[in-house]
Amino acid sequence: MSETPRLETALHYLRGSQRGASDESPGLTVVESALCRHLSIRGRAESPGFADAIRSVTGMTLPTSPLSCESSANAHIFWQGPSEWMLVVEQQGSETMESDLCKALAGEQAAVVDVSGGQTLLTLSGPALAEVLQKSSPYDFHSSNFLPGKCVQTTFGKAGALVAQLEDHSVALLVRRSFSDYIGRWLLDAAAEYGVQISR
Amino acid sequence: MLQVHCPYCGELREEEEFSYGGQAHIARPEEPDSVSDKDWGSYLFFRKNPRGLHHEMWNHTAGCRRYFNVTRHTVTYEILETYPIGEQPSCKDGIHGETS
Amino acid sequence: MPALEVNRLATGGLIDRQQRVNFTFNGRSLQGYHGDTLASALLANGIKVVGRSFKYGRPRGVVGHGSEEPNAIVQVGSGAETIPNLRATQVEIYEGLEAASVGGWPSVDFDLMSIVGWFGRLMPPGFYYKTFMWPARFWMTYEHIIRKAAGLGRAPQERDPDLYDRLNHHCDVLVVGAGPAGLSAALEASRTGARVILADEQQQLGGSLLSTHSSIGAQSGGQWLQETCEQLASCDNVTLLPRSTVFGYYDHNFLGIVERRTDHQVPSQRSGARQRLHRVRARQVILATGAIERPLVFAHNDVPGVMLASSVSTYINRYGVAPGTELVLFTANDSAYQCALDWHGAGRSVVAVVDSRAAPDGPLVKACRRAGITVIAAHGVIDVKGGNAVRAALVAPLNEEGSAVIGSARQLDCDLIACSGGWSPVVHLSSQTGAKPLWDKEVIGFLPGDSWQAECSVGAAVGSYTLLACLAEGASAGAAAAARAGHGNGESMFVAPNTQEQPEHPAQALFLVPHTRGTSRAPKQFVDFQLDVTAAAIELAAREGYQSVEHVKRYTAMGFGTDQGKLGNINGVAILAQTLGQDIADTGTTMFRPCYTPTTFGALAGRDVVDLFDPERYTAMHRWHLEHNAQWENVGQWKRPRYFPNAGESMQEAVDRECLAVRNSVGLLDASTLGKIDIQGSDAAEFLTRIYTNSYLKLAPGRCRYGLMLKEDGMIFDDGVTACIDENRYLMHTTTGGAAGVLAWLELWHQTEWPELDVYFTSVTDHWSTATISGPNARNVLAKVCDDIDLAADQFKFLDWREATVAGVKARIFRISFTGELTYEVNVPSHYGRHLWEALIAAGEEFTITPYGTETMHVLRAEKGFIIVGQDTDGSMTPQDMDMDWIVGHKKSFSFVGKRSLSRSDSVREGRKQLVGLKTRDPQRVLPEGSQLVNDPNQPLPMSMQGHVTSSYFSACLGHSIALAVVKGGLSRKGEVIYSPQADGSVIEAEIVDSVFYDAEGERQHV
Repeated sequence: MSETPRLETALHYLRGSQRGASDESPGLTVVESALCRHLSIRGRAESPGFADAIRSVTGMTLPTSPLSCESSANAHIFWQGPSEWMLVVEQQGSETMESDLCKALAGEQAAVVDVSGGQTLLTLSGPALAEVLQKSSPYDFHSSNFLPGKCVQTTFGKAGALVAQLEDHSVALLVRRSFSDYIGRWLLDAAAEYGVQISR
Repeated sequence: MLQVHCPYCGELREEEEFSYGGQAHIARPEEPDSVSDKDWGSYLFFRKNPRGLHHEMWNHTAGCRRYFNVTRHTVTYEILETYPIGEQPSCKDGIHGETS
Repeated sequence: MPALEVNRLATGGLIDRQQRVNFTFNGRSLQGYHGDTLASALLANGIKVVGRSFKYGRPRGVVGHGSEEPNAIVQVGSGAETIPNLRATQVEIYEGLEAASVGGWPSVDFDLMSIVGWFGRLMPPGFYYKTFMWPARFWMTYEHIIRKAAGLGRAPQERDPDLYDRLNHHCDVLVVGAGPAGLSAALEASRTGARVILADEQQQLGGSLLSTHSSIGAQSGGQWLQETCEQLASCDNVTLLPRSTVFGYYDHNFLGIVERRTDHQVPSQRSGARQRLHRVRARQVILATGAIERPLVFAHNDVPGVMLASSVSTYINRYGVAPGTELVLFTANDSAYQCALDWHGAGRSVVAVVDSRAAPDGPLVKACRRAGITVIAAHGVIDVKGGNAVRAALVAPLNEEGSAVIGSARQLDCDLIACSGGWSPVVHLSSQTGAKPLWDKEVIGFLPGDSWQAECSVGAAVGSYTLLACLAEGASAGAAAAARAGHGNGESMFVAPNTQEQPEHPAQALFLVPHTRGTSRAPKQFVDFQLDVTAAAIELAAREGYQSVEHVKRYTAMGFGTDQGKLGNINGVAILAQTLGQDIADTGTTMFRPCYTPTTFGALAGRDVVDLFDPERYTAMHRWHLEHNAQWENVGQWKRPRYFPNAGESMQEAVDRECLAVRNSVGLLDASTLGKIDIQGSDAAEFLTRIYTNSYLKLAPGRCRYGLMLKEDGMIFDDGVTACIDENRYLMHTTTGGAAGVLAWLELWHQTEWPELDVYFTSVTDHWSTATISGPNARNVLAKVCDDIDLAADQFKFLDWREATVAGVKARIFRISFTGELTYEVNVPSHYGRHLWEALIAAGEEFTITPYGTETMHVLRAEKGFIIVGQDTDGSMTPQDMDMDWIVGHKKSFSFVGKRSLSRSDSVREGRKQLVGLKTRDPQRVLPEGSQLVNDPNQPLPMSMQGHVTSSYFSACLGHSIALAVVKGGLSRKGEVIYSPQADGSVIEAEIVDSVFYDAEGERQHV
């Protein structure tokens, strides 16, 4: 029982997959993040204490406008609904974040739930990104509508996903673990004509 | 394929992100146990089927998961407004000379 | 040697004369040029007969030049990639193209159907109804013969190997049709910076500019076209889609476009998606769909060599093909005179222009006269001589209205009759919005009606037939649409070129050309070529009492072909109106529906095929199951192992082995798919108590409780165990299939009825992976990988849960049981799911731990009489029906969801179906699930049904079959015998017993 538990990200077995042109610069590159801490945060945006508590623990501003996200060097907070946010933060250094949040939110009408095992964070980039998104979802991902800092939950293929435009114009895709195989294979298939790889 | 304005996301979104929730503004009786079988049956089963404006609930299933209300014309499928649960519709008169 | 291109002109056209293209048609090797359509190449080769008609088997030739073509319907390609029902007028030829007529069985040149002419006489209008619906049992036979004879094309038998995909678009302005009006609209809209999409079904943008000689100011039409296309192509905000048919106009300005990307290429050189579906949501739509020339209806007007006047011009000007030598042009308007001029200009002989009008004298008429072309006014072509090809036209004087022949006919020898009854605006897409087309007497055609959708029609689609009007209308519509979408000020920058357009002489509304004999006795005057509907048939339908145009359509089949009656419908409507003595406006037109032209299933399916057809959801242990020969059961979108057969084992053998392992030692089940919802808030317990039939107000942290959830109608909706994690925090388990529905259900009540309650719901289904250790040795297995809590039966009791470290991972362990055995459900975050599973398999080795699947789980729980919601219940079962009144909190202060319905008269009536067990008389006989149950198997049909079997298995543990069933009044019928008649005539006899077959006292789960 002294062994170190073996950890598997949702798409560990698809890492290194590629389709289509195999040159150095594929049309789409998919990177699955190392395991992050995913915390679903519920609460009342209108309560000043709520956003203050989030800031005091994460150092980040709670994005209260619809469809917006806040990013720092090692974390994102995605708006998911008027009382619902998703904090995705690197594991290292955030070991006490869930309990710290619970403590800071004591007295607020709020909830924090660890869902780290339930989803995986993919980062998509490359020249074919826009067209792959157009193939995958009916949402309007045109640059005039999908600006950096915007995040939407929508349908992706026949599954769902949270899609966020990051400042560096890559796109974050937050998918449920049980749907990740479908979405991984969907991306490989959709982007095959441009060349696609899932990074190791 | 309709396009529905989610009052919480603040955007028009495709119908496939939503699911239909039936007629809106049906209040649960305060004291179910003292309601007659007939009235309880009406609450459970009887719904409007107008030719014209219909106030109905939708859920932004693939988006923010919020329920909200929609005023939709059942002939043209035109959506005249969407509004949060608990609010009253502002479009109550029919368009094209029809009433709800 | 390929045949000679007898009809190819020496010069002219937009074809590439440097590029020869070899192709075959009905097995015959032919040549054309790059840029030809199949139709233009066939005409160039002098091929007149391209198919056989649907009903009469008559030879048919090319009539048109675009999507309206009713006759030249072909099957292209072979094998898995073949596509049926394409219009030869829209098929671009490529090297090696193979095409064949879809009409004409057994062959186009030797047609069985035309020899057995009796067949056609058996098929008057309404023949489907009159002849073939009786006797009904013959219908299948008839249909088979008719479909084969009619040649509706052949679907490939193999899986289509090609790729299809789709692209979603949002745009400010979608312009449909890239003729002069559409180009002008797109150009103006694009100048505002609006996002513009311009789609056209042809391979080149340009529409009528491609097939006419025109000038725009100082420029030729061709120069203007080239400049405009270059400008549009250079705009980042413009998407140009040639070879793209806008096939459907749906709600809220949602339009479907199919782009044919590689169909025109040599198959070996194709790459990427063959066709792509563009799903467009447009703020504004401009329909510049043009107009289709209307044929004239006269006797034998279907003989190959009768064509549309504009099509003849198009073949000359665009393809350098003159489909004949001696032309008779028959018209009721000015525009068709251009055909005579083009024919004359190609150096061919115009026998005469026959004009039904008394004194035509428009500019084109004058030009013809100046060219020395004979114009015979106040006459009509009333009949055609020829079988497989036109030999002559019979021309007779008509009265002023064009309604009667007023003199004797003379014969004009010719091999081509071009005709024009005017133009019909293409209102199909507009009509699909729900707008009713309106008859316009001036235009002599239906115009787009009012639609509430954000669209407008311009150019020929609204009856504006001059080039200048098209350009101007397009430009102002383009600017206005962009402005309505938020771009620009709505003012068009279009400056009308200084071009004089002389007014035309008014056209005559001529739909049915009279014959010396009345319509019913005249030779066939075809209205709908594809489905062989004649003027006489429409008159007959009216005489038989049909008045609504929609009924006449269905009775005669007019417009039912793959061409949707693009050529015939207006003539048909007009003839019906005339017969009924109505205005055309009152008769109206039929509804047009998607698709505008036939659309492949491949394009509609896109990439949602094979293993991407529907998402498959996998647990974290999925790959272990794969490696261990799991056989799958689909539960919703989840893939769950059903059983794990050893080499050579049948399903029953594997399930027996797995069942016995759990009962006698220990088994391991992947239960990760169960729905799991985290519920938090100071009102969480109150909320649960309102939603479930029982109470959660006193459930302590560390404890679990089973609950039943009802819909408000009192019927069981879901069930599962809820654990109290902490004060104000619970974990609800739902059924695998019900997870999403239950979460939405909780949100519905919270958001719409009880928003004042402080409670939040979060799905944690995917976060936790669950390994269920079940069996007498379960504790022994768990103890090997978990040493930080006391597992003793009196410390960690049934319906307790504990937090503990399992195999080095922080876990939640629930002592709940669906097998009736000692069970621990171990939950870890899913990234450790496989690690946990493998650790338990290793720890259980000495107890021969046996992985088991859902089938075994089903048997084990059925032995215990535990229900599965959705299998033993079907949305019409109350807790009392399931003999589960013990879980209903009748005394709870809040009237929980569904409670009131439990006392409705229907819920408490006698004779409701109730859950019981069945024990078959023959212990080896397993009742098929779904079997109906009766009291007396010898009663006459229809028997009185008493209920049905909901679950049925062979129990290896008990050594006999077991079944659960719902039986009317079943709870008070225990010990009685009931019968189940089977489809094979046998009857299975069974005794009604208690639904719990094993360990009735429930001791084993408590050990």
